[in-house]
Amino acid sequence: MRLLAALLLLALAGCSGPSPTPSTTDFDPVSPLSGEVTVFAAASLTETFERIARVFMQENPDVTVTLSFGGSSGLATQIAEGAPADVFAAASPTTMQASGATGAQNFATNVLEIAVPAGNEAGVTGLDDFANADLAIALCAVEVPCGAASDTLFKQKAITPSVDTYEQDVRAVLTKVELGEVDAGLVYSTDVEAAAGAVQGIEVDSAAVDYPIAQLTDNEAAAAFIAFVLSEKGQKMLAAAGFGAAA
Amino acid sequence: MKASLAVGRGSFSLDIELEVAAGRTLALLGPNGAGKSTALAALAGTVPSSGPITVGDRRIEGLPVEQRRIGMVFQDYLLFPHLTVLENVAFGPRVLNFLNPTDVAKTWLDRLGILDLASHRPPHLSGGQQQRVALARALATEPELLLLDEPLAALDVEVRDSVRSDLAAHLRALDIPTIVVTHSFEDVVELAQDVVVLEGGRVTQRATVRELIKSPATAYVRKLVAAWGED
Amino acid sequence: MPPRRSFPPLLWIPAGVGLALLVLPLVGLVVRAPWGQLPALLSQSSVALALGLSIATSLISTVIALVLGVPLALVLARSYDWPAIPRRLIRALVTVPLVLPPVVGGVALLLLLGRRGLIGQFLPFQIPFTPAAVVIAQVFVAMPFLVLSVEGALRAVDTRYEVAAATLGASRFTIFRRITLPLVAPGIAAGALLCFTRALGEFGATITFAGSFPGRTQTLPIATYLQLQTDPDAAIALSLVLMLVSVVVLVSLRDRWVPGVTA
Repeated sequence: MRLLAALLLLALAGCSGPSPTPSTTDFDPVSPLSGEVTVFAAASLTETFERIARVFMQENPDVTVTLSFGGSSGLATQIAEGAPADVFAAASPTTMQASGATGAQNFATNVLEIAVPAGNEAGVTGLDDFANADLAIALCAVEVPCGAASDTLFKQKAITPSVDTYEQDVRAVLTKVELGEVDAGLVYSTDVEAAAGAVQGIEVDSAAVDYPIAQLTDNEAAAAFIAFVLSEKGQKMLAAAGFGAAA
Repeated sequence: MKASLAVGRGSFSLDIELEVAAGRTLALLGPNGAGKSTALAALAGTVPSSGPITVGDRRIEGLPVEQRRIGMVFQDYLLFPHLTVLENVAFGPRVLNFLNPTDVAKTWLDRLGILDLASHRPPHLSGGQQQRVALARALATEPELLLLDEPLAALDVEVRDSVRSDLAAHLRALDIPTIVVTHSFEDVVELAQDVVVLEGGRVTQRATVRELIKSPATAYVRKLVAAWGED
Repeated sequence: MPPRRSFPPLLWIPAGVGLALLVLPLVGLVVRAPWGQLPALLSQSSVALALGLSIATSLISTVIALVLGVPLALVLARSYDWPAIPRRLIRALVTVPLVLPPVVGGVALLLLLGRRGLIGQFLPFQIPFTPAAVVIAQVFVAMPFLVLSVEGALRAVDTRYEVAAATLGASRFTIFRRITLPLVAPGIAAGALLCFTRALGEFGATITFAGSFPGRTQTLPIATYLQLQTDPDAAIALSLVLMLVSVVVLVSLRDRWVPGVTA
């Protein structure tokens, strides 16, 4: 199987006219990439990284990418305790630091956005409504990146939100909004994008949050994966999901 | 008391009539499986039966168990293990809202000579003691009919004779009709005045104890009388 | 000469492994605990809040489980003369929360009692994000333990005692109160203990249905999980508290109430 793939790509490489600029996968047709890559990624990267991983595996059939999503802080703790991850993509530089990883690069940015259930029955218009005690409000717990970002934002705007529940990651907030259990929640704009149809978004004027990615083990396939994320293809997929370009 | 009992249970059927006067004890004698315990259960109401049952001046067929005013001493005594002897005997009076359940219980314990066991718990008692507690418990509710199911079967052979004499004395002192179910002829002779022999769900002989000894009607009774006669 | 015990020595191997599996993680917890920082970590008000909430809700849940579960156990135990389908159906339904992942249970509760829930939409008040929601979630996951434990104990009770009580003149309710219940009390105590500790440790259903808010719905397990994200030492400290509560409950129950479970 390996030999066939190698021969095929060798043939293709030979057929594509002027010698192609090596794509950022640094693909060597003679010895194709193989192995396993375990990626820990922030919850807000769920759909996007699944797509990226799928394309990466199509281009590198002998590589298996395993994804694990969750609150960045929880993932950082697991990595610090020795969890077997090769790549860590975090939702904030702070959590990347907490994991103890070095050599991180920013690969995307995200902004906070208000999410309301489809139809917006409660008539939420902006951050001021979050102080309304009659509304059911969900925020990320301050221990996770989106919670820290929310906290900073509210302090900046001098608004005291009347919160009903602090969820353990941004997707849990999103779910509560989707189910209509809360009138509004503060999530990332990419989450609103991912749940389009089930929730509506209301933009807020918030600072962009940096998303760093780092390689944790000496794994060739892992380096290739990171390079793919940073490549034009990877960046296009991130942009399509609503992420901003890395600073 | 007077009863017509008809019980159908699967392939077994019982169809008998019983009559016992106040102050007299009837022995229901028969081999295992003859239907003796079923007859008691039908009288107590734990098994459905058709046919009129009169106790005292009340018709009790159709009444639920707790309303029949029948006292029952079970083969295994079934003393409540989580209650003391006194609480066991006082249970009925208490449940029936007697004025002084504890005093009533103490009186009965005294009559049966076991007042000193009042604060003991059933599992620590001997067979003979348990039997007396069971008797006291049944009598404390002042029932209008007393039923005893194989009252000596659970006892060791050595104590059976002395317990039987005691029981006979207590039964003679009662003025309510009493039925004793047994397969032992010694029980019949000492405890009862009248006998009804039950074989295969049907009455095969109805007589006083003396008449039975003189003229046993079936082979089964003949064997029992003969074996008893040899002692 | 003392009688030979009939315990095959070879069984010590799997028994020992089993014991180690249960005990060693707790040993790890105790060994790695930040004993020096413990007072500082535990004196935070959020800890007292979470602990108080956990114990209060677990107690209430256990009481509710007793009031509802014991009669249910009686129904199950005395259902042998029912037709097969209703009997098996009820038994299966009681067991479902035991096999359901707790988070799924939480989602189910949301879909029933949430703002847009089957029943919830008609209620004049909101249930999610309140302590009541915590109690409901705990009852959902913990009550089956009590029901099945009490049912087992009830089946072991000799029903002939109830017949004897009836001949003495006791009504069905009196029999239940004075004979059946006392005879089954050790089983009820064991079931209540299981129920309480299960409710105390409940996480998935609670966080999904009741959310998490300090003092209102943030139970100790949820607080521990959140702390694990940023401060593992604090999480270990909270875990020790949970462990201590469980041990205290176990030790304070006397053996004659819960034979076989306590020392």
